[in-house]
Parts: sequence; structure tokens; C-alpha cells
Amino acid sequence: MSSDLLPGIVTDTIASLSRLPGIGPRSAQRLTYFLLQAPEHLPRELGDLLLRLQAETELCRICCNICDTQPCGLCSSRDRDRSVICVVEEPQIVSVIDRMGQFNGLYHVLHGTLSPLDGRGPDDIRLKELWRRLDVGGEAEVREVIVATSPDLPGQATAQWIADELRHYPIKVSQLARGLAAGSDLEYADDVSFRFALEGRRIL
Amino acid sequence: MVLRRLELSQFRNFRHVELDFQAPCTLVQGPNGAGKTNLLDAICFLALSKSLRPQTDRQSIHDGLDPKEPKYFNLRAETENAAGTGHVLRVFFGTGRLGPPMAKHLFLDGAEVAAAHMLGHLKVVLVEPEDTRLVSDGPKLRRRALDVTLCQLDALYMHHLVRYRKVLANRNALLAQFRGRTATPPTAFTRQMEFLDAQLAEEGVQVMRRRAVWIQRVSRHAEQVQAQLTANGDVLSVRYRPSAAVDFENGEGTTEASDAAEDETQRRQFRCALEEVLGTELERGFTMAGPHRDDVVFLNDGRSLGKFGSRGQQRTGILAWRLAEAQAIRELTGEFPLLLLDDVMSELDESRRTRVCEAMAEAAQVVAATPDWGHYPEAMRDTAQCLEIRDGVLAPT
Repeated sequence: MSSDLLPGIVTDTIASLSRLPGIGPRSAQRLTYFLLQAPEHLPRELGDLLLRLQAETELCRICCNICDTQPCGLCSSRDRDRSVICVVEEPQIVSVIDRMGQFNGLYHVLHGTLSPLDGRGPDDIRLKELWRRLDVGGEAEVREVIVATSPDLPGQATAQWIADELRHYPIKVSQLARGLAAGSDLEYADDVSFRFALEGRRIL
Repeated sequence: MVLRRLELSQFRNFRHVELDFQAPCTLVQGPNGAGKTNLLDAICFLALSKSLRPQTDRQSIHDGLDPKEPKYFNLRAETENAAGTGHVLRVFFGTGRLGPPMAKHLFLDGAEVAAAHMLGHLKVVLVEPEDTRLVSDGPKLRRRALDVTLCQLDALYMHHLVRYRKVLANRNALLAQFRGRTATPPTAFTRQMEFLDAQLAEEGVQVMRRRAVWIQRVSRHAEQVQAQLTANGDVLSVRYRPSAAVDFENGEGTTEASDAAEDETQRRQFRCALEEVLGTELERGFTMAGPHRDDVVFLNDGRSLGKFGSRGQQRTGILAWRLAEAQAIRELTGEFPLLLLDDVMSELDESRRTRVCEAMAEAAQVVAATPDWGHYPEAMRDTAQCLEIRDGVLAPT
């Protein structure tokens, strides 16, 4: 695309949008042309929201989730079970887990995993904030930490790190089960999932 | 399991080829550059879901006469097993329905699948002229050849290998981060290393055990095949040389450890090997023991085949190994793999050629390419399906 063909603002918008995750140059072009011809209030609203997005949010000082009040709604709620903390990698996982309504405890968001390949060590994720919550004399007695990191290598490394760190605390550390997908037929399970399911089998 | 039908479109120097396999043995004759190797590589591509040649997928598209022609290639195979049922395998590379970029799509019986699910439906053993480099060159080629074979046979092998490589990349990154700081590695290093070592041992032992068992199994057959090919002349022995001293002698013939204790012992041995080299690893910044540094040694009458063997001896030795692999696959799965022979006779004398033909006769299906009909005896040409290949066009003779 030659630059004299289009006004600079158009090419700049396309380039800027294509930096977003999941948006390629083609999608970026489509969005730009849509916005060019959209009713005026639409880009205005969008721009306003984008500006406020970071300005009006922060991280909860307790659980590190994204919030607009300190502490966040979940942490200050009186209906939640304060003895269980579910540790997740990213803020969006909180809504995934909470949506199903089965878990009534509190959360802790790490904002990343231990990954030497990406140069992320234990000081680069929100582990210190987690230890602070668990220290004796904290606001509540936590009895269990559920580590809900991904079953990939960085996720497992993080889970192991947390388990090792909490070895001397009187706190139960557990991890999400993995294996056969719910609702799927045994017949269609692949070898690897089946192996995990077999390893993680339960006594009836 | 046999290959019944093969269709190629726009692949390398083929415009369009349809080929029905009518005999257990198919002989393809053609001059250099006619497409013999490309034909065999197309079959490998379908079996392994990738090419064994250095060309990229994009470079494998037929040049085409008209630059405006859509750019793609398509490979399709129909297989049939002993029970009379079979599969349709298809590889498509090009622009998909959703537009660019160009990508590879794999289909099994019409449904798009991941590479891991494509593997193993058409098992092949390829013997090619470059195979002599397996004995004469460095261990990297031998590990690759081993991986290609085992990934076809054992889905868990690939699973553990992929995981091993991920752990290895992370472990190397961590070593590189703390490189040179040998005096007192900080606890952040040792504790992360502890986890990565445990993972590396867990996956590494699975990979190594499968390699050890496989090499042991194939070498039993290889000794016999070599005796057959050389009329009891040379004795071939093949040995696994793991870079980490782990003992697999007890678990003979099985890919699973006989009990948890054995598994544990082998993991401990692997970790001891890692501990021994840690100092050097911290100086150099990468992992120095494990399956990624394994080797396989070929011995001819007790002496290194790579160093002391003649070209003909190397060719015979590696041919014996490949034929033995085919027999071991039959022993393991009950079905002979498809044997693909690319110009294997060139450096062999008359008597060895005859004996290779005898050994080939045991296979369920052979596709052999040759520049010269004279490489195969007349009796064999009479029963085989004979084809001529000229500039990417196949014709019966």
C-alpha cells in the first residue's frame, strides 16, 4: 500500500489497530474503513472508553485483579468464603471461573507465569502479594490455595513453586484436575488425555 | 497395510499424477531429475505429514506455466489394511477458504486433523542414497532418523519428545540467564532448576527408554538381515549410546517401566548425570546431558562402520538397518510398513543386489526407484508393476 494513496491518518490507524492481538492487517483495514463511515457518536464513544479504560482502573491491592474500587468488589464482599484462594494467571480467568458459580472463595491474579524462556522469574509476577495474604496475622485464616494455572510447562512450574513455598504453612495446596473433557466419549479420547485421566483417577 | 492409490497435483515437478498400485512391488525407472525422489517424498509427506527433503512447503509447489494460476499442491493417498478397510490421507498446501496466508492442511478420511493424528496411518520406511551419511556424519542425523521412525509408531513418543524439547528450551534459557555466575547460584536459580530438572528427567527418561527398546529390537533383526545380505560376511551390531548414563537393561522389550521403582531409579540416574555437568553447563549456558545429545553407533565386525567401513559396506549396513526396522515394525504392529527404496542398488555388487531383492520380497509392499532397469533382475521386473518416469509424467512400460 503506497502512502500517497491514502491520507496518513488512515494508514496510521490501520497500522495501530493491527498491533492488537488477533487483528491482522486485513482486519485492521476493515475496522478502519468501518470507523471512517460509522455514525459520528460511535468512534467518539469508543475513543472516550479507550482513554478511560486505563485511567479509571487499577489493580486490587489484595488480589491484584482489575478493579475500580480498593479493595475490589470480590475482596470486600461479605458473602465469599475467605478460607480458600484460587490462584490464576490472568484477570480474564477470574471471570471464566466465577461465571460457573461453583466457586465461592477469593482469587489471586499472578499476571504471568514462571517462564525462563520469556525471562520471567519469581520476582516478575505477583507472588509477593500472595505471600502477604497468607502470612499469619493476615485479615483471615486461609486454609486452602487452589492453583488454577494452565497445564503447560510455565503453568506447572508456577504451581510447583507455590507448593514448595507453602510447604511449611498449615495450608492445603491443590491443583485443578486434568484428563478427559466433560461430556466427551471415552471412545474419542486421545492417548495423552487418557493417560492423564488414568494417572488422576479417583477411588470410588 | 498397503498403499492402493496415490494422487499428486502441482507437487514439485508433477502437474497431475494418478497412480494405482497393482502389485506388491512397484519399480519406477527414470533419468536423473525426472521426479523419482519427488514421487517417494510425496508418499513420505502423506505418512509423516511433512517432507523429508530440504525444500519448504512453498518451494514444493509446481512452478506452473501461467503466473496467474492459483498456487497450491495437493497429495492424496488411499490405504488398505489386512481387514480390507482403509483410510484416505490428504495434504493440501495453499491458500485456504479464508484467504491468505498459505498454510498446510491435513485431512484424514475427509476431516481436517492435527499432524499428531495423521501420523501412523501409513507407515513407511525410506532408504535413500543420503542414508550413508547416517553412519558417516554426526549424531544429529541419527537422532532425527530415530525420531522420524518412532513418531510414526508411538504417539506417546512424540508427546514426550515435544514436551522434552520445551523443558530443554526453558532450562537452556535459565542457564543462559545465570551463565558465568558459577560461585553461588542464587536460590531463585536453584529452585527453578530443581523443577526443570525433574521435568527434564520425567520426559527424558520416557524418550530414552523408547529409543533404547527400539534400537534393541531392531538390532536383533539387523544382525540377521546383515548376515542375509552379505552371506554371513560382515557382522553388524548397533548400540544405543545415551549421553546420560541411565540403565535400561532391565525393562527389556517394553516401553513402560516394569514398576514405579524402576522409573524412579532411571529418573534419579538421569538427574545424577545432570548434576555432574552442572558446573560446565553454567559456564557454557546450555544443557549438556540428555536425549538431545544421544547417539547410535554402528559397528561392522566390531569396528566403527562410519570410520572404517567402505562405501559399499556402509550402504549395505544402513540398508540392513532399514530393512530390519521394517521387520521390527511388523513384529510390533502386525503389519509391514511400506518400503520406499530410492536408488539403493547403485553402489552394490551383483551378488548383493540379488540378496537385497530376496530380502525385499518379504515386505508387503515396495516402491523402488532406479535410474537403470539393469539394477533389478529380470525375474523381478516380470512380476512387478513397472513404470517409467520422464519429466514428472508416469507411464507404464
